[in-house]
Amino acid sequence: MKLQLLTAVVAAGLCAASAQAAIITPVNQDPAGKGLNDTTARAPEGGNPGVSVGEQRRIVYQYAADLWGAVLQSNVETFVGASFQDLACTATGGTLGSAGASWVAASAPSGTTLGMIYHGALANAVTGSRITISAAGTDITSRFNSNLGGTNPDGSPCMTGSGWYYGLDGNTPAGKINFLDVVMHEIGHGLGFSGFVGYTSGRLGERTGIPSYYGYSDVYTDNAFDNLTGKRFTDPAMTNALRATSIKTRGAPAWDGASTKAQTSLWLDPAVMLSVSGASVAAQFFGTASFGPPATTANFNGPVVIANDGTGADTADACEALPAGSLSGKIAYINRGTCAFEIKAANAQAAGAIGAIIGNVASSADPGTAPNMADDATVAATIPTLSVHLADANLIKAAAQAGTTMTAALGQLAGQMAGADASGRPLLYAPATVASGSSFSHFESVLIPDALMEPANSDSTDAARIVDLTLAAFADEGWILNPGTARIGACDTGVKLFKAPGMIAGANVQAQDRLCRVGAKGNRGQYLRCMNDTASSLKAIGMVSTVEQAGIRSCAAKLTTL
Amino acid sequence: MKLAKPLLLLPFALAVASVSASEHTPAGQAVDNSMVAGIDARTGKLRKLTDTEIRALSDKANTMAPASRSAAAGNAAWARIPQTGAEASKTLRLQANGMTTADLPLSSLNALSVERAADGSVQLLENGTSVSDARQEVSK
Repeated sequence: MKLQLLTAVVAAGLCAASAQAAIITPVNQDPAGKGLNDTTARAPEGGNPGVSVGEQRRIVYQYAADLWGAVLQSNVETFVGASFQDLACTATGGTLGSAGASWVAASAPSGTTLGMIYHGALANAVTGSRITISAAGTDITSRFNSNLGGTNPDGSPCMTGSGWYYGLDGNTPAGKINFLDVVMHEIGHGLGFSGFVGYTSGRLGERTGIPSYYGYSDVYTDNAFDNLTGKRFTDPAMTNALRATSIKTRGAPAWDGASTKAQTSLWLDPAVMLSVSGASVAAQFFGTASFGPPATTANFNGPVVIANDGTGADTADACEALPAGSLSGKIAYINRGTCAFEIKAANAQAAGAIGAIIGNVASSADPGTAPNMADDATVAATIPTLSVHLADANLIKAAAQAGTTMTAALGQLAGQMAGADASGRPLLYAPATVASGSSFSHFESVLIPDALMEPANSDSTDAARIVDLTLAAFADEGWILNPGTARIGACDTGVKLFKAPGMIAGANVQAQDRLCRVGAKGNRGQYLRCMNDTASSLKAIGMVSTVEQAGIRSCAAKLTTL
Repeated sequence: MKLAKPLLLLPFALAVASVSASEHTPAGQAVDNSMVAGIDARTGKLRKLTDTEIRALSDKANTMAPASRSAAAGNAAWARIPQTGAEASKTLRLQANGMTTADLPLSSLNALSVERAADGSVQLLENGTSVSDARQEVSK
């Protein structure tokens, strides 16, 4: 966030802001007996000591609020509306929940400076005082599906067999959904990880739905960079059309905030690129197959030729047998369509191919995507197979048409990180088909390892301990991060609330402290065991040192009143 | 563990001037934030949907228990949240510090959805798209 973009009034407020940890308070909006107040008995699970559905839900909400609150600074309490409701749901799918800022504050445009929209909680933190609160009495709005794993009010099933996992240990059973990760993610949107640019129009401020803010930038979009033009989203040369194009182009929009860029290489793995020399293809976005061996730098390297089965409207679809030996020692390029991916790969393999690249076609539903490829039970291909999107496919076919020699290879490119652009900016989610509310306001789905603010939750996220690049992004927006150490009562454990990139060990200690007190119900021995377990688990995954582990135990032992 | 009760604070009272909604152009309509995804009928696995399928499932979702006003019918706090940009525009206020503020409509929220595959695994999805081209696969 560029401070010069703030109004003078807000800048003055910055000076007034204190160094106080943010207090984030869930506001129970549910009626008696429902949602967060559901009294249905439920056995404690995964370190969540609640004994009813409602209590476990409240504990998770509070835990998430404690985690975020510990690592951010604000001397204005942030209220998060918390509710469980009947949301659209079927036997196989449904809406889990929704969340976002309850209100926004905006500074007016001045000269060539765009108006700037702040998420409400951030606006309060930046100015150091409460500016307002929504009519609903909240700064962040969130709600979740109350019927998950059960039935809808009309008796129809809602993801029967699935359901929320309210444990806090990250050991989510297969088929269940980790409520803590989801709440952390959604509160993250409400704190600031969401842009208000129109995803299809490219118009700034449009997603507020408030015409007076159209044309305003916002603290999120202000950090966005377009790799197609080499300009920030708010650059005067960026038109609505250019922004809209960027938002639906994989690899185009990226986060340009300095704090986040500085941590990209600390968090992301080196990227593996699929290159096809002679065709100018260098793809980070390639699809993989669920059949055959994984493509590696060792097994996916060789000359590329176009498959030709000589049959049908598309002779390069490899849906029929290919001439024996015609692809010997080669990586076959094959067009998508007509038959299953694995059948194509099996046919190429039978003709001697050592690998296959399947290119998307214009007639597919999603030509801009490099699809991941399902297996086919009728065949068993054993060669590595990858896919490319239409643009890359066209480059390969054009090079072949021109008689250019092509060689495909998988490999790392110096300095290129998985899910970042060449300059180390983490990419923002930009599927070819714009997804309302999802495009742009997440990190790309190809970040490795996965990030909390990717659009899909994954088994590898552990929001109780790691928020990866999200904290740095918040810093880029103007949040002041809390550099302190975890305290238990008045005792300083010496464990930093967070370490770069986004390891929130100290925040976890503080959240666990509250949790362990609740679970102990006044039993000091039980509280100490709970905190000792906390210290041991953090030590086991390398997030605290032996000294810090001892600090947690020592401070817990000094606590005299639970 | 006790959660706070809903807290109602009036907008900052000093020298606050209301900005008339009539000053604005017609507000934008709610953006459909519902989310759909599907299971490939042949493989039984989660796969990316076509635009047509997404629209079809979105329409179906809209006929189900709606995720907006009626879902919050029994919830007093949610009843106060604007449903549309037009309603949100009416909350626009000029604050004493020179900034304007406004409540956001439900349409601005990020909705999170889930899909269960035939093997029982689940995938979380947001706002009407397949969330991860890197993870979802198609049969052909």
